[in-house]
Amino acid sequence: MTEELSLDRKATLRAIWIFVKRDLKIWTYFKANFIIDIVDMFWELALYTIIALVAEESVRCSLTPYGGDYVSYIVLGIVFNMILGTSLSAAYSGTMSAFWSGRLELLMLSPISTPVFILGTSIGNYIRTFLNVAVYLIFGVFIFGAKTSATANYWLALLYIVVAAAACTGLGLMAASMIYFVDARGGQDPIRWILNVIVGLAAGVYYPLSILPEWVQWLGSLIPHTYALDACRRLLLGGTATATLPIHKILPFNPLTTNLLVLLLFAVMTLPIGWRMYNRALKMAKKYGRLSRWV
Amino acid sequence: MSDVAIKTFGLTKRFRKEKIPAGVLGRSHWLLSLTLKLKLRKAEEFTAVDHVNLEVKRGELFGLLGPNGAGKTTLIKCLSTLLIPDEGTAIINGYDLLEEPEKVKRSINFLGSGQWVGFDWALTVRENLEFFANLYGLSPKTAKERIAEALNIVGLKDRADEKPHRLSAGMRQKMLLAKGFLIRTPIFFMDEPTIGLDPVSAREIRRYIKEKLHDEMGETILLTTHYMQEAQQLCDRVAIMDRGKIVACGTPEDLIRGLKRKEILEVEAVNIGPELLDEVRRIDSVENVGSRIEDEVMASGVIRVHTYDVESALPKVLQAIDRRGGKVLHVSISEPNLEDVFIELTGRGLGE
Repeated sequence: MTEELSLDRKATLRAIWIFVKRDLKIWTYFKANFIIDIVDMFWELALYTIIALVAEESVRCSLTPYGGDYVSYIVLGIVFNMILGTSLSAAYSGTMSAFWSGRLELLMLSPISTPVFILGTSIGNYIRTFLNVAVYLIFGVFIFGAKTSATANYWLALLYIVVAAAACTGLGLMAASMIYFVDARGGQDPIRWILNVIVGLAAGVYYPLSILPEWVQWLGSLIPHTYALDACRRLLLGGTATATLPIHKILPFNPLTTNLLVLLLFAVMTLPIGWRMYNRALKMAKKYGRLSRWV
Repeated sequence: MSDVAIKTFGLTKRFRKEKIPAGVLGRSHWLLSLTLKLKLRKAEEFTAVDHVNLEVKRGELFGLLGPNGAGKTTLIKCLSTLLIPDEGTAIINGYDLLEEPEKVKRSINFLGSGQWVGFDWALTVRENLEFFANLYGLSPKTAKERIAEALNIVGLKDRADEKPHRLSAGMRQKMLLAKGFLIRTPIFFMDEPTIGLDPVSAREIRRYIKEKLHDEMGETILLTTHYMQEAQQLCDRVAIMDRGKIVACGTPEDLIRGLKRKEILEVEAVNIGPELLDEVRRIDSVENVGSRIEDEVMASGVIRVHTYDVESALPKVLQAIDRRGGKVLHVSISEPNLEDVFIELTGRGLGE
């Protein structure tokens, strides 16, 4: 007896789960990597803590809106940047991994939809990131003395990070579309490359933006990371409601509201554009025979 | 429901000839790739599938026979939505290929060739199959049953808990077949299903395709192959494809019956090369010549000579082989087969 393929809700969830299961299996395949990753995280935090201790005096003033503690500032910067980095890279790395392993054609033939494919390949990455975040936080809090404020609002911070992650997912879809638009199959693409340059320089991951020239601060204003990091630090580390980003001086709202509005705008714009671009890229791949390495 | 499962209307697919190796283009930095791509914009095109009109009836086991590079794989990739055709369209299971690709996808199963395609090195054979069973929406119970059945059919039951990189090339092809046997859609595209298999396994797989999938389950199967015997043994009807075009279509018996020559001079020899074939072609009474190389190292294989005067042609053919440093192993007069249809239509053999 033959029948057309179909995926009900239960089968869709099973399909997502099988992606996650496979990713975790691959991740835990090389056991030594676990240990090296953890040592690496410890080393990175130790390095930033030393820098924080040396540089704390010179940036103390700029840290006031974020509670004043540089170690806590950096720990939060690193972990939130990791989460947003995962949102940015998930679609690209999922598509690339499927392409190079020759699985992309098989996935395109299966009844799973593109969102399920993106979600399936992303969840494993998020789980891995959250485990890394947990390790960073454990090291950060218990060894390097990072702490949140007594008035920290965790739920609101979560809201900001979810909206920022949605915006980054949109940008990530645009980045993944570059695989076919500009043949960016070599592990790097123009969109993530530009974003990562700005994130490293002007998003405020490692130092407060106010220490930079104003034009660089404006550069940081072009990406969602800046607003998410600013808001999450304000919510978790306490501090004052001082304007820290150039846009805070323009819009008539308090910094937290401004950040949320900008992040929502980013998400509303990037998600549909990214989605459309990604689907067009897949169509282009089918047109030019680029879904697999072999036609 | 229409009794036609697949119907194509002038289906055409063209590709650009890229002079830069795909590996260089793909793995390089995006900026370099983009620059190279812009330079390639004026690259010439070649037509892989050229205005193909084909009709496959429901429940039919239909073969696409042709040499490597004939356009068979490109054609079934177009039909299975993996490639968008440049011209023409097709109706698959009642759905328009261009208008309703999602519905087409749900009606078809695609079995590609290539032993490493799509499997994860970190998962066992069984886990890899479970992965695909889940993607195709099989319930856990059905998946378990189908995986056990598929492993049994391809003879990988004992290797189910090993990782794919521990398997031989032939076994990885079997793993790919097992994946293909998990689902039961109305239409099944098979791209060279027995390539790389040992003769015993290939026979078993052919039997399963014919007896279970075709005869018992009534699946419509479109199978590509460059093995003449496979097409002749399995298929209800065959389309012969060459350089993107369908050059003949019909039942194997009708195609063979339509041949001008009913007796073919078959010479098994060593050291068969293009120069030798050209020389044989120049013999007066010879109309067409085709060859099939069976051992690449020794260049040994079979030359099939279509001639209206076997007695006159035979000594000249043997002399030509001798002159070119070849060695004759066996000579016979054989009945024509599908390969002879290809030779008569194209002037060369399937293996050339």
